[in-house]
Amino acid sequence: MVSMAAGRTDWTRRRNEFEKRLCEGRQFVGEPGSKIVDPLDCVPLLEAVIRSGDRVALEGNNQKQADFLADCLCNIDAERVNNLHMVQSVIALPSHCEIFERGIAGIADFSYSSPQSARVAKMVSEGKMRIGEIHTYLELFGRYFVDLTPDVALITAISADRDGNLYTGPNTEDTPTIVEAAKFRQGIVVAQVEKIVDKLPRVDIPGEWVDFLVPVGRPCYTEPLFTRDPALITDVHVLMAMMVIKGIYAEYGVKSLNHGIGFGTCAIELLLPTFAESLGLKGKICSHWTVNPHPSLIPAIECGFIESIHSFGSEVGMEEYMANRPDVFFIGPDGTMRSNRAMCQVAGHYAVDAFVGSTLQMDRYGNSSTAVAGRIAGFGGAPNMGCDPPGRRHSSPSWLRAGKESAMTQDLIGPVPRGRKLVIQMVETFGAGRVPSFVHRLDAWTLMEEAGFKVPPIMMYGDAITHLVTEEGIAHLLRCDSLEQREAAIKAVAGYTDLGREADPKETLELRRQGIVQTPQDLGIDIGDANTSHLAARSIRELVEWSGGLYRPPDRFREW
Amino acid sequence: MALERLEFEFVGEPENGGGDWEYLHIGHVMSGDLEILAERLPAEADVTRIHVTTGAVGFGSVWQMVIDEFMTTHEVYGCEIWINDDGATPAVVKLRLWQLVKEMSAK
Repeated sequence: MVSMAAGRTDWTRRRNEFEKRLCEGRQFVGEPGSKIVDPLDCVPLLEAVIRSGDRVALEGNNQKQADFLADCLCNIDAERVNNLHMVQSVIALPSHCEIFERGIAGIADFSYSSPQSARVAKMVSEGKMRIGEIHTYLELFGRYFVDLTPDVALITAISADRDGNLYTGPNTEDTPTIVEAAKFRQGIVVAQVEKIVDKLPRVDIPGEWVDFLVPVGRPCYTEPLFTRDPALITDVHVLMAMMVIKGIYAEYGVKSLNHGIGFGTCAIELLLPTFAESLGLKGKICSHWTVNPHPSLIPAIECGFIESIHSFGSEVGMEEYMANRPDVFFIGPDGTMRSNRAMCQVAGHYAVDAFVGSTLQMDRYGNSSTAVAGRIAGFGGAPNMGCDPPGRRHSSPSWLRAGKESAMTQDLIGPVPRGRKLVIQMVETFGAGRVPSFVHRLDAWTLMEEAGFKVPPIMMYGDAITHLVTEEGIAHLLRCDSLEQREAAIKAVAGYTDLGREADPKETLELRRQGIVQTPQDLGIDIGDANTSHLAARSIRELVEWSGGLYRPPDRFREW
Repeated sequence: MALERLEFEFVGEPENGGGDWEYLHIGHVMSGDLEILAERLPAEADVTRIHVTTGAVGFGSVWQMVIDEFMTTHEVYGCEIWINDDGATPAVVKLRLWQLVKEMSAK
């Protein structure tokens, strides 16, 4: 018999620790056996259940925010609880930074911090915040189940019942992922809710996974992040959108897709019922979406262009409209939509034909970045949407066609058929203030040096991009057979930027002959006819009209 | 605000973009955009003068390239064209010029 070395015999340390904290936290519940804590007792509750050095997931989503719990966390005694390790998707609120300013937290692992990008960069340079790593959403969620499991989850829901069951409603977003990671590793889960009710519309999070409820008497803060006013779409956006529809969606038969946010994608959405319909594309393109419920999708939904939409989050004002379009959106038995960021990220990564995004800067190799010196903004979900997943095995006509055209794939795997997701970048050659979008050196390199990153924060690597669309035309980068040819194709559509001026007119002509570069004229698009009169809606008000009054935009978007 | 004035002149066969037009107006003077006013010169005129007034100083060489490309592509000789610019990108300038040509032939 093999003699066994004396090993570990104590297998319930986490459970024992949890029981101890639960016991200490329970002194703040209203009555024995209850989970409900008065908001006025929330700060001492947090001091009782959080220990120095804990990993804390403070729910900060792209849209909804556990803002009350964030404020309370700022106000705990930093002498007593400090050096917290924040593991949260988004650093969005001033209070998320205040936690670091006050010395309560020391390190952050996150995905996205655009709303606080300047302050994050400042805190890093002052040594008040250390950044573990900046992730994509899926990476951070993945690490929740590996080496960044939260000890404490501070989450937000619309309502709860007395057993702790939660209704998170349309903006369910990250909540299920955070709670699953924390609770099944014996973490403490504290939820802020607007109110306690006798019966929930539906149960999004089971009550036994929730330890404490704080009814704050008001809804949590939610940002209408994906509302774009069609009035701000320009003729140039329309031109580029026409090129994407005719030159890519129609060409490849793109049925399923994700759109990043921006006026270019907004223009595409509003051209589906008009321009795309006139090309006979209804039923042939853009039927299945993994996307937030952009209000600009309403006309295409109403026209029957769109069959299904699964969403990362909700969008303020779209709730009633979605509830009345249950064939299109993912609607619970209660009749309201449920989003889920992790699921939608998986869907957008693996299950769609195409992604369309935009960027601030692109270099000669097609690497693109939204990084700006002095600002640390993170990635969000774009790199997972905007890449070809090497693990994909199912096929679709678009995927097969794109794979067949990918000239450089066979150099790596030999003559084996393999598909490819389309990753499309829409970039105007110059941005606001005539700042060139095509550059010799990305600002990401400067930010890397400033912030001490190991790699420049590239949003999408050049090899992921299959198509670059500017007002000058489409560069079918996937059709290029070398890096040199890709560079020439990028320069060919880079307009009057310094990089674009390096283009050799003869080479550009040859690229056009080979179908690697297409101008609007090559696509049969009349530049002079590209204008906003083609949009199905030209104002928020017209979107409301399309929805039959079901879409209720936030006040800031109402001008009537 | 400092304004920059740029003048361009092209000579060639009178074309006028076809159509029957005398005056045209395209676009608006607003941030990031521009307006173009065009006047048709008498039929025998073989010169096109383009007068640019812009609030964005120091982009003369880019204007030169955009306008050269426009004239090479469309050959609209026999026009007087005024461009009043409030920081439009080359993409917007080009699009507005193409829209102008479309208007010329539509009349």
